[in-house]
Amino acid sequence: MNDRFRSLLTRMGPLRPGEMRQAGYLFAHFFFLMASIYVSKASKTSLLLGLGLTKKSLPLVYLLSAVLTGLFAAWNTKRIRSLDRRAYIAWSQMFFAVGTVAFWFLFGTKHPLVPALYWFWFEIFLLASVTQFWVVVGDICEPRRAKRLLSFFVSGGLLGGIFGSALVTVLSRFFSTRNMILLGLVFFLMGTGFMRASTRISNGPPAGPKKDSAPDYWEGFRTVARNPYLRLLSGLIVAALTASTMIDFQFNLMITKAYAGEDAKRTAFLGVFSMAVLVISWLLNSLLANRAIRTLGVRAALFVTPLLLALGSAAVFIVPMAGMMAWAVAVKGADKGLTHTFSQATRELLYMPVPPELRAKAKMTIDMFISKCGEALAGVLQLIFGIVLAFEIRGMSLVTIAVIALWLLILVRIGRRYIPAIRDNLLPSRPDAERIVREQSHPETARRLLDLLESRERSSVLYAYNLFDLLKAETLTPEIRQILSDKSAEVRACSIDTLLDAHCESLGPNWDDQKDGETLDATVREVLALDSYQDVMRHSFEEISAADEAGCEVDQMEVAKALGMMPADAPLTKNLARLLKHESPGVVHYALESASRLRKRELLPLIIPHLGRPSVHDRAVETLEAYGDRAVTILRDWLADFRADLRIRREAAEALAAIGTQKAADALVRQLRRRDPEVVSASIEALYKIRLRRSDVRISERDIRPEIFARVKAACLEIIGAASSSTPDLGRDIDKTNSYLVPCHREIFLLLGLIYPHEDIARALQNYSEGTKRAVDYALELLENVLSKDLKDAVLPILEDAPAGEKARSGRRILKALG
Amino acid sequence: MLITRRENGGVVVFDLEGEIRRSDTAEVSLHRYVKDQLDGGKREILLNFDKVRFIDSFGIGEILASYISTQNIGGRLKLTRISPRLFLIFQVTQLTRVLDIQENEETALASFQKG
Repeated sequence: MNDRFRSLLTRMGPLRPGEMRQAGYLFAHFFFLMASIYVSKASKTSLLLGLGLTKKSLPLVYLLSAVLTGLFAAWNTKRIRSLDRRAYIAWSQMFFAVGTVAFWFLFGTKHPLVPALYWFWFEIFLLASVTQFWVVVGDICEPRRAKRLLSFFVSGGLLGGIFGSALVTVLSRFFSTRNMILLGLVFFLMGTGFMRASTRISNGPPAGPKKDSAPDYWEGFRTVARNPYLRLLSGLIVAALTASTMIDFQFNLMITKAYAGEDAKRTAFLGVFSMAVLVISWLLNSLLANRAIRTLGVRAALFVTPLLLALGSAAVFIVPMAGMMAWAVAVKGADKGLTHTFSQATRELLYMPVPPELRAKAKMTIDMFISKCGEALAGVLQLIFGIVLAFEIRGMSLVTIAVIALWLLILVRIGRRYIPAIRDNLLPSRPDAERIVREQSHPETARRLLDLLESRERSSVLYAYNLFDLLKAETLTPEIRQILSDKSAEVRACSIDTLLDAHCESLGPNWDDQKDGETLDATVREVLALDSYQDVMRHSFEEISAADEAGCEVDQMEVAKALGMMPADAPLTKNLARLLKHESPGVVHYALESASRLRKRELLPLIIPHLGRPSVHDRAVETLEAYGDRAVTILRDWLADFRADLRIRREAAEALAAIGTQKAADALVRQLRRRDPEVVSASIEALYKIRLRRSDVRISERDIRPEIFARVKAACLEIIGAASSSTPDLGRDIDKTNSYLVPCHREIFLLLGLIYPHEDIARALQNYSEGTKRAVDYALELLENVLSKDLKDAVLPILEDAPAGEKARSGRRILKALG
Repeated sequence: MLITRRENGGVVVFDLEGEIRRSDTAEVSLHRYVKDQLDGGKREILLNFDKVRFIDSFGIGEILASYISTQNIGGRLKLTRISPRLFLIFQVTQLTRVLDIQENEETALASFQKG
C-alpha cells in the first residue's frame, strides 16, 4: 500500500498503525460491492416499475418477493451446509456472478416474469452479500475496533453507492437498463477480490470449524428464540424493515405514476435519486453520524431514524396533493439516508454484545429470514389497508407511523437490555477474595487453631485458653468441634497431670455435673473479675509484665491472654499497656488480642504502631477493627500525619477499611481530598474495599468526581510528556510512562467504583487488566454505557488503546476541557 | 457446704464437704472461719477439698479472700485434694502462681514443717 493511499485512508477514518492494510481491503470491498448493488438496483427497480405495476399489484410483488426469498434461502442452506464459512462465501459469490449473466440473457427474452424474478433474485443478492461483509467484519474486528472503523467502512459503501449511481445516471443515456447489470457484475467481482485479500491477512478468529460454520438457519431460529436480546433485535429489524418497505411502496407508486412508459428517464431519475441520497448519506456519515453515535451512545442514536421517519410520515397531513411526489421523495430519501448512516451502523453495533458463536448462528438467520418477515408484513399491511380497506396515501402514512411506534417501543426495551448484554460478555468478576476468606474460610477460627497448636508446645495455660476460645467459635464444623471437645475434656481431666506429673485420680474428686467448656469459661471469667483475684494477682502480674528477661516470654503471653478475659475496668488490665510495648511478637500478639476485647481508648496509641510490624500487622488490624468507630479519629490523624512512618500511615488506611463504617469512609474521603501523594493510593484502595463490602456506606459523588478528574489530568500530562519526549532511550521511557499510568488507571477505575455500581466497575477493571483486545473492548464499552458524559469524555480516551500521538491529542483536548 | 475444723501438728485443717456456691451459702462463710482462726492466733491453715463436689467463682472468691487475710498477717494458707477441674481453673486464672496447692494432707503438713 503506497503512502499516498495510506494518507488518504487515515484522513477518512480513525485508522491505527497495523490495521491500514486490512481496513483498506474491507473498505475497497464494500466500495465495489455497493457500487455493484446501486448499479443493479436502479436497473431492478426501473425494469419492475416498467411492467406498469399498480397500487393493487405492487403489494403482491413485495409479499411474493419476501416469501420467495425466504424459500430460496432455506433451499440454499441445505446446499451449502457441508461447506465452511469461507467456502460458503466463495460459493455464493460465484452463484451471484453466474446468476447475473443468466439474467442478462433472460432479459433478452422480454418475458414479463423476468423483471419480477430478477427483483427477488436481487433481494437475495443484496441480503447475502451485505450480510457476508458484516459477518467478515464481525469475525475480524473486536467490538470497539469495529465501532471505530464502522463509519470508515460505511463511507466506503456510500462512496461506492454514489459512484454506482453516478455511473447509472450518466450511462443510462448510452446503455440499456439491461446492460447495466453487467456493469454491476464487474464491480461485484472486483469487490470479491478485495474481500479475499482481507480474509487472507486476517489475524482474527478463523472461519470456524467446518461442520459448524455453515449457516444453519434452523439453529439460528432456535438461537434467536432462546435469547431475549436476539428476540428483541429481530423485532427491531422486522419493525424497521416494515416501516422502510411501507415508505418504499409509497415512493414506488409515485414513480410509477410519474414515469409511466419512460424506462430510460425512470432509470436516470432513480440513478440521480440514489446518488443524491448517497451523497447526503455520505456527508451525514462523515460529518455527523460517527460523532453523534459517540456523543449520544448506541442506544440513543438508534432513536434518530424512527423519530425522523415518524415526523416525515406525519408531514403528509400538511403537504398539498401537488407536492406528494416531493414528499414521497423526501421521506424515501430520509429513510435511505438514515438507513445508510444511523440505522445500519447502530444496528450492526447492537450485534456486538452478542457472543461470537451466537452472533454467527443468529445474524444470518435474522438478515436472511427474519428481515424478510418485515417486508412480508409490509406487504400484508398494504394488502389489508391499501386494497381491502382502500386507505389512501395519508391513511397508509398512519399505518407507517403505527409501525414506527412499535419500532420505538422495541428500541426502549432493547436499550434496557444492551448493558446487561455487554455485561454478559465480560469475564465474570473475581469475587472479593478478602471477603470470601472472611466469610467462608473463617480466618479468625484458623488463627485460633494455629494459636492452639502453637501454644500446645509452649504453655498448658495458653493451650487451655486457646482451646476454650476455639470452642466458642460458631464457625467450626461438627467434626472439628467434636475433636476439640474431646481435647478440651482431656485438658479438663488431666491438667494437673501436666503440671504435677501425677495421675489426676489421686488428686481429688471429679465433679460429675461440670462437663461443658462453656461453664468452665464462665467460671474463669467470674474468677478473673473478682476483687480478691485482682488483689491477689496484682503483684504477680506487675512483676511478670515488667520483666525483660527472655525466659519470661511465655508467662507474659499467659498474662496478656488472661487480661483480655477480665472486665475492661479491672485494675490488672493496666498491665496491658506495658505488654503492648513488648518487643516479642508472641507477647504483642496476645496483648493485641486482649486489647481487642477490652477496647480501652487509652491503648489505641500503643496499638497503631504495630500496623507497621509485619509479624503482628494482621492482628493489629483486627484489633482496630474490633474498636470500630472509636479508633477512627486516631487512625485519621495518623493517616494525615506526614511525619509519621509511611508504612503505618498506609496501613492505617487499611485498618479504616477493615472498620468499614460511615465514619471510617468519611475519614478516608477527607484524606483523599488532601491529595497527599504518599497515602492517596492506600486511601482509594481502602475506600473501594469499604464500597465492596458495605452498600449502605454513602460516598458523595461531589467528593469523588474531582479526584477522578485530578487523576485524568495527571495521566494526560504524563501521556503528553511521553509523546513529546525526545529521550533516545525510548524503551525506558515507555516503561516509565507505563509504571505511572497503570496504577493511575487502576485508581480511576476504583474511584469510579465508588460512585457507580461497583459490580460493573469491578468487572470492567478486571477485563481491562486482563489486557486482551476483546476483554479491554468490552470493559470500555461497558464504561461508555454506564458513565455520565463528562466522565466518559475524560476517562475513555485515557484508557483506550491508541497510538501515542492520538492519545496525546486526546490528552490536550481533555486538559483544555477540564481547565 | 459443711465445714469441719480440726488441728494436725499445729496446722488448722478445714475439711470442706458438699458444694461451695453462691446460691447455697452457709451462715458462716469459709472466709469467716479462716478469719476467726487468724484472729485466734493461728497462722497455718490447710483447706482440704476432698469431699467438695462442686465449687463456683463465689467459692474461689472465698478461698482468695482467706488467702489475702492469711498473707496480710504473715500466715500461710495451703490447699489440698482439689479436683482436676478446680486446678484447671487455678491454672487458667494463673492462681497457681500464688496459691500453694498440695497433693494430699501429708505432703501439705510436711511443707508447713519445711517453712
